Amino acid sequence: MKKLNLTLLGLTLSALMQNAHAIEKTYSLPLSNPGEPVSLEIEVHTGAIYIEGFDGESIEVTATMEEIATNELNKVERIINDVTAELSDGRGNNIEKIGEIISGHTNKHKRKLRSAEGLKSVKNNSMQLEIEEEDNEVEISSEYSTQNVILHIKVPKRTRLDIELYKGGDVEINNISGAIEAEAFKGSIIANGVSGPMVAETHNTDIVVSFDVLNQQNPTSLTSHSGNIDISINKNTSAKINVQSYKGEIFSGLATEFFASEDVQRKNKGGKQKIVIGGMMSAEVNGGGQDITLATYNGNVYVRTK
Amino acid sequence: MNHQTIIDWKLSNINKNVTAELVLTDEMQQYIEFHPELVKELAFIDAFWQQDNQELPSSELDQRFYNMLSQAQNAQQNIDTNQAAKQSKQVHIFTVIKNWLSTSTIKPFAQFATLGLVFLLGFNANDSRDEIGQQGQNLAANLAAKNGIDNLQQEVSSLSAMLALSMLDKSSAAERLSGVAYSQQTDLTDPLLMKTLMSTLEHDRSTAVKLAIINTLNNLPDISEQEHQLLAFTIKENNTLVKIELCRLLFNIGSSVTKNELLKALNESELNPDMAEFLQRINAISHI
Repeated sequence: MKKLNLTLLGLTLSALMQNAHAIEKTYSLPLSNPGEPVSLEIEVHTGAIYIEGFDGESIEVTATMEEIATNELNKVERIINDVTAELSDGRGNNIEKIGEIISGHTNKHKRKLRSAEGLKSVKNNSMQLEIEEEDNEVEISSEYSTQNVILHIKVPKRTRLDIELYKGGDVEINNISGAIEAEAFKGSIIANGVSGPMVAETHNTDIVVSFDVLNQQNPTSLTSHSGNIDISINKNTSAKINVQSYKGEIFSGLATEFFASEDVQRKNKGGKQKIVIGGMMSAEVNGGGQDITLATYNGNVYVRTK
Repeated sequence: MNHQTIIDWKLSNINKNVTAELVLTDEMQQYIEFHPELVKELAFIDAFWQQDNQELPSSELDQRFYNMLSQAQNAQQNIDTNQAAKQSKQVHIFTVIKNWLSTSTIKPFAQFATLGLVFLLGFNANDSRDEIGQQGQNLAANLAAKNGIDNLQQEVSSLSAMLALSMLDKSSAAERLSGVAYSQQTDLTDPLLMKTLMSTLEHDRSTAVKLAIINTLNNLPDISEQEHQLLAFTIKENNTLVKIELCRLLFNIGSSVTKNELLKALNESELNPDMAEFLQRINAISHI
């Protein structure tokens, strides 16, 4: 039975791979006002976003669109991973059930097929992607569609980013000195060589940020419900790092100690005694500076120096 | 009527606050005309709000804010230092004279001569300058400086509140976070600022901003005016992190009535495992 199910998985995978095809297009948008502040707002329903800061005065966009079949492929890949894990775990209790689900999924697709005799296949090359630029304000959007949108974007380093990604892969940001706001519902947010301020939020995935120089004008805040938060700061960076972790652990490479209110503490305020439950843990690095707040419910928090 | 009344009217007017009285009365107009510094402040508020596309508080504005703060701190320090130095000097001189006069080895003639000399010096000094009058003038100057500092602190608080209100209205979460940080620099007595914070807490889509506002409210000595609203927010909140922090806030500084209502509502509702675990912990702690 196990062998049958694995064969079924393999067939589904190869069928989906045959259906998958990608379109890639490149766009270059010169800025209306070179040297002035730039902002980039991206909203993608399904896909991945990679942003790189560079020394130019234009926005370079490479968009790869994949049919939704590729998403199905990803789903099957995930199922195979789960099945493999079950097998290596020695339990294998759910394999039959998984096989049934995949069989049902394949049959559902088969039912949609009708006779194409005498017809030729026409590939959908239209891109469901909008790019607009006005006075250095750029908007890129791909709302709900049957396409997986993968964006590789080069922007001036000073660009201010506002990114939302609902499904698919990760958001990756490199070498940006402008303010960053990012939200990813299913994928991770990974940023390297950024200065902040940064406000990022994920649900079940990690946020990994390596700060270059920390912006001291505005606070930074990273929040994840169930993902880990991992930050790296330079040894000479001044900051006040606040951590709110409910069930996870905190791992610190800082020379400065974290201090915290006790789990249950009694406080006097205005002559009134009250019980304070929980609280934040904070560390003032190099005498303290702008706030970096890290909040996660189930994940761990890692604070590193470099 | 004071400066704050006029500033509140101005802010309500700018924000088209429907509940506030927007008509400028004759009395208010006269008050404004009588205070040129208030006219300047109102002009500044107008200019501040009328600037479209203002990204962040400008460095000039920031510099003004910190200069004002620095001036206030320096003025306070100078007063304290001068008073301490004067007191120390007076005590020192009297102690020396007292010790010298009480020394048994000094002959009575020398003591008499010294007392005479002190009398003469005192008479001349009193004649040339009225010492008591001088002390009174110093006291008045100190009081004026103290009032100036109070006014300056009020202005700083008012400026922070204005900045906070402006930043909380921005579309960027990073800027709204800055708005919350500015609000922490005020005493949160400005009703418009509190109303904006509560509205942002209810509607903002950023978890970070909501958590920052809850942390700000946690520093208030009393939240009785906001408790009812906060209880409603807590019950309807879907974001677990925010819901837990709201619960924590109400359990920390809420009244016992609110705490009981919250516990009842949570026990009756269908909770996700994280919330259920938190509630269990709260119930355990409440027995301590």
